[in-house]
Amino acid sequence: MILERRGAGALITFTILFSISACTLLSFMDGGFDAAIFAFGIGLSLLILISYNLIAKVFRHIDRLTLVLCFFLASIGMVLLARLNFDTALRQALWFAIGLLVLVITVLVVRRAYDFGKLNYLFMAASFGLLAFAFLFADSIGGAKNWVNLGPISFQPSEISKVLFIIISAYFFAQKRHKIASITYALYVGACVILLVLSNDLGAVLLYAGTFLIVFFAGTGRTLLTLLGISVSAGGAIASYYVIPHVRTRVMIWRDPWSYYQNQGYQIVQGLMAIAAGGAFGAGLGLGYPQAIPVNTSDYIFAVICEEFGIIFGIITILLYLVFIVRGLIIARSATNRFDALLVFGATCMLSLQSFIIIAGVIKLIPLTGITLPFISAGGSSLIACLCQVGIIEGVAVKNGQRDEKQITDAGGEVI
Amino acid sequence: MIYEAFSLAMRYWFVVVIFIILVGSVGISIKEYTQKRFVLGLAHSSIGYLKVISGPEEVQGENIQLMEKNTIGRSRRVDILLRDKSIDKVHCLIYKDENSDICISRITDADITINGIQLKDTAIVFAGDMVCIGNVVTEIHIKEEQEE
Repeated sequence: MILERRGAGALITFTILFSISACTLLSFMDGGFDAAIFAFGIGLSLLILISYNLIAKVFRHIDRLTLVLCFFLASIGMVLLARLNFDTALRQALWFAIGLLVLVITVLVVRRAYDFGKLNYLFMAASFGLLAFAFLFADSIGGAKNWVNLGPISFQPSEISKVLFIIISAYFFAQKRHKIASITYALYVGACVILLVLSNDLGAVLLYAGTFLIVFFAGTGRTLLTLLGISVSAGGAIASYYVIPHVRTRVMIWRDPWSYYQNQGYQIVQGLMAIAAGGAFGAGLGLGYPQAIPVNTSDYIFAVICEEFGIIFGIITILLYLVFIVRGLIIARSATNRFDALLVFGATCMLSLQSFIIIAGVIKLIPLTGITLPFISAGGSSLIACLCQVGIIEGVAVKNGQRDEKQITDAGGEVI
Repeated sequence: MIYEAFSLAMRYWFVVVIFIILVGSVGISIKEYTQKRFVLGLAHSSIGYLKVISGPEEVQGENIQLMEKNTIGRSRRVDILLRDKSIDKVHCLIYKDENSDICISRITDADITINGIQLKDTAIVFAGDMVCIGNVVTEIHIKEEQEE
């Protein structure tokens, strides 16, 4: 009775081949040979190879496929950033390395911890504090107050806060519900949403509200209350259209960006044109015009993917996110206790919602919001938060694997 | 021009790579899921295992899963096949009784010792007991929940 876990090694090889081939191609983009980009490609490949093997060796039961998908998506991002702005790519690689450390620490913590107990109230205070800090001191960029500048470093407090939000939600839905705890949690969620609305960080509002509703339904099974929550959220969204000018502008541009092409609609139109210009297989890496798309390294990187690599590549990227999500849900379903299940479920939901919201915004399915594409978009805070969520998923996967291995070895089998 | 040509050609390589990663991920996921379900299902229904200390080469050092009822012998009709001349065609039965004890029963004149003591008919076995089935020496391992 042997449980074999094979195949992820072959996929990581293809990830490395992708990085090396793309960066080698890019190093000839400007006529001559750019050694910096070539070295970046080699360095990125080595980072992926070494970190994957180290993590897989240290944590025997880590979900290797989830890690491979995460690495591949990150390498797509870094290749495109190298194409768009080499300095941004270097910074992203540095944040990726730091994020991997955060991932490892998160796996270690989640593997050992139960549900953090009373610490969750401290997390609540910290999470609320971060959002309040952003509301009071953040710079307004693109209408939203979500970036805090601390000298050479700037970060998004809502990114750190959302990881705490997942842990807190899992804790409160995993326990037997006491009235005071339920009220405290409800007040916390309400306060977070209000702060985010006041900060005009509408993407984060969608993310927090959506994750809360999904985890609420998973944790309680209360269909009617969930539907009520959805109705309240929808009502809030409609009310915000009439009350908040920023929302009205976004909806107006979404409905007819072509009429506002010269100003607010420019980004959406350029994005759509870029996707169309790429065709099925893309214009070719380095041959498109992504510089015409505003915020091409962050919000609109999906449009750059479609322009340079093609729509087929873009669709498969979406499918890879889907595979990532399904694996997260399988890990949640196999969790040993309710808290772990809701923790993984929450992390997976948040990553999936984030991917859906930004991709849907770029292709004009829904009004655009300023959130990042997980693992791919430039942004240290976002990348670290995403890797932290992967760490949560992997931490529970390790726990599941340890339990399964014990069951199998007790029955005389082996896990290889 | 040369860069353009290479870039246009490599578009297809990038699509092939991402397609391989997608198909590979889905294939590995399905294979892992079905294999895990099967193995965990077997492990769940197992009561323990016999570790073969010495015996036929093909099973030496192996762990042989024990289900709720296991016939052991040299014939193909049995659940656990041990190809050794000292073993009868249907040699013995290892099973879980109504009290959830793991028992071993001799069939016909089969030669069985438990911790060096000849088995007359039926006996309860415990984790760590050395069970000699003919010339095949095994150590019995029982799943923790069974021992409780």
